[in-house]
Amino acid sequence: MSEPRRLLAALTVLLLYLGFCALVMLRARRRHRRSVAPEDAAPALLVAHASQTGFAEELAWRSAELLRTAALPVRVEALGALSSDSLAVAGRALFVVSTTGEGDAPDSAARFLRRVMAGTPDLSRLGFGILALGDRSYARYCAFGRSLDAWLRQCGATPLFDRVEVDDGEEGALRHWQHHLGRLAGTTELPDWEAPHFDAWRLVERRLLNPGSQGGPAFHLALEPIAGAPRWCAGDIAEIGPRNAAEAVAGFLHRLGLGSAEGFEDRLLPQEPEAIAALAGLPPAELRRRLPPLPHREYSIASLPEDGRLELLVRQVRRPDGRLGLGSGWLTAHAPLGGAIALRVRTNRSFHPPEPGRPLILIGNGTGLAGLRAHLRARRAAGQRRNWLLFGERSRGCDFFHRTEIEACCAEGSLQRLDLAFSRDQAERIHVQHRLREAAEELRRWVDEGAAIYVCGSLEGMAGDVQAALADILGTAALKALTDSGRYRRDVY
Amino acid sequence: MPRILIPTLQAAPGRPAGDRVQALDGATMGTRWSVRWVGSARPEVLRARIQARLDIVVAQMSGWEPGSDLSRFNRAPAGSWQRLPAEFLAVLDCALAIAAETGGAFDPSIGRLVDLWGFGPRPAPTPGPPGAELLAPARAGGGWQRLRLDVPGGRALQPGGLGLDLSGIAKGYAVDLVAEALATAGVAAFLVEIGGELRGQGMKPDGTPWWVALETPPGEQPMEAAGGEEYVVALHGLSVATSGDYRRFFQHGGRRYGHTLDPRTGWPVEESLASVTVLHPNCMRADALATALSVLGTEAGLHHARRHGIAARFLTREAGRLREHVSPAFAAMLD
Repeated sequence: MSEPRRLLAALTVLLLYLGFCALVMLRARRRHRRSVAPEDAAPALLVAHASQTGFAEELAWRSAELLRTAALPVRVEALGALSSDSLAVAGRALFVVSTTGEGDAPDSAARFLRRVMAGTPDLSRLGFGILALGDRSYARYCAFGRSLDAWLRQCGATPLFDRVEVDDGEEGALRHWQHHLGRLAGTTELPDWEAPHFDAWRLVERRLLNPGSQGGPAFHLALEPIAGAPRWCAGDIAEIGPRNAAEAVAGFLHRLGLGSAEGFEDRLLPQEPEAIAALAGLPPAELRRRLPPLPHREYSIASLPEDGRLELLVRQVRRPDGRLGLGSGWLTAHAPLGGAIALRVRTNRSFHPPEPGRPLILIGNGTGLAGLRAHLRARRAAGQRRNWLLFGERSRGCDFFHRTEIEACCAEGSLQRLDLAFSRDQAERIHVQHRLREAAEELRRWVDEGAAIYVCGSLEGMAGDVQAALADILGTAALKALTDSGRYRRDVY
Repeated sequence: MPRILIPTLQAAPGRPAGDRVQALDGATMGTRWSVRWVGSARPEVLRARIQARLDIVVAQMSGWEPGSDLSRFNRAPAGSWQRLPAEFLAVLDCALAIAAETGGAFDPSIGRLVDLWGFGPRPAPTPGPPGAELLAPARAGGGWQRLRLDVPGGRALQPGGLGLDLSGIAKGYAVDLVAEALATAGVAAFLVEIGGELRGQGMKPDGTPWWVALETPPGEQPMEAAGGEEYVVALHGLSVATSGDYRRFFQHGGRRYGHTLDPRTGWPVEESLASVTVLHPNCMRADALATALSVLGTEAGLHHARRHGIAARFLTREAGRLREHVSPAFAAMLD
């Protein structure tokens, strides 16, 4: 073959090959479009969330994003915004719901519970999946997720897969949920759901707030971001990635006959002799692989970004065996001053500030003052002076956290009323709920003026009793109306 | 009449928790430490806590201890990532930040230069100033830009032949650690001092703050400054650090040199500055800034202090007399 003919032949082969490729691609695309087309006609898949601390909402959004990467049309709604009718025609729905420590539905779902779940609408055309969030250490684990599941089945809806229950953000269960999402989206190639990414912050201040207290030591902590200027809002939550104390790691490795090794500061170290014995003889790398990562811990943020630092109010917890609590031990004792702390801020929309112009009643006890303090600071910064704080602790002498600051707010007029309940300062135990009942008349007046009520602190004792007091003072119906309209919000733990 | 400095307060100090002032002292880092506090906290308990914090700094950051993490880092092979304890990293992190802010007037990587001049743990290899043939490689071995930190990963990169020297910052950090030890023990009012660097918190039983006089170098001519009196500072939530070479200096070629090295030239700073005092909530920062400002000198130092809102006071020797210059942030505390 002459040179030009050879070139022509080569060119023809190339053109044929390119044409073949184009055909294959075109076919593939057509096939793809055909498989998607019926989906386009159906309503977007509904992802509904009922969140107490914002975690369920965040998971709902992450689920929706994941489904969208697989080109599935998705819409996200708060459970409280749904009606029987909208559910009946939704086609397919995923529910991401949390349960409070008392086993109740989150406050934001109260309306749904009363208006929708009270009836038995025909949901026979609905396919559903449930991700139930809970904490196994509470008696009624995932109770709301379970009752929602039972109700949906009763209404004739069809489960797309078995309910997925997540204990305290456990990774395995979340991966399981992700697997179901992948099946729904018709692919197993969804990007992996990463473990929460923490940023490095620096511990710059640590101070005991209640020397001499009969209660556990409570610490004021301040952290600065090592990079960037993170934003957050009053009511948001700091998730901490705790680390083991160096001595705990050394002790654990020593019991296994190992010298020092890296990478165990963020692993859950077993304590029981049998569990440790079962790990004997493993090389450090394999040992590390077998140990689950430490779970994260959550604390209400007590400051604003404008303060230039993220402040926390943390009670040091001592476990029955004498060791300090995982998160509190790390923050209050083991982490060195100036050392790095793994932290990420989680938006907690259900505890964000009320709209300006509304009076605000802040109720809390103990370290719950943290979340209330952030709100008080935000109100001062916004020039909102109609604020009322009810705070309870053990004794005025030892446990009046941030006393000078609170008294300064009273003096300057940004705190118009302050009620303190120190339970151990007199013979009878006086708590915030008692102070609340004493102030019933004024409380009604503030609520009539449009006040929002924010509660932060312990679930046991305080939250329930405060709720009962509010229901007695305002009436059950009025309290429900406040809950539905977002004027009664809680961050309780 | 003394001139009085009052820090601008976030919150007024709380009332003192006890009715007596107790005191402890001891030796550390080639100098003395002392702590005074209000209240009933038991001295033997506090001494143990304080000593534990001081031991951390020495065990990690001392160039005089062959077994310290700092000595290990300085000996490490080129290109090796060295795991460092969190306290060490915190100091190094702050040191690098100040090095960047001051254009290298403060530099934690001058260990080899310090050795060359005989200002550190080792005697100088030659009497008198080192020659250029020795200075050049020592300077090349340093340079804060060559350091790499991985704070979340708890490690730092030894780029090769880099010698860390944290003597301009570790003492301040030790003051911060001791203050934290007291605060976490529930002591609300205290004054900590290590070798002239101080940090105070809260009030004494009589309701007065910890008043501290800013030192004037001894044996000097009286000051020509306005009034010429000494300053007293109310140390509530505030630290004070002073960089001054009047204690140690040498003469060469008719000039007087102190023991503060200018990392940018490899030579000691010429002694026209008698001292620089910095006030800052954080003693580690105050300590490093005082060193940096004394290297920058009066003019550039004042400019830097003005631009960064640093409360600083410069004492210079002019025509055989002491003269004082203060930054706007320092002046703002006077009233």
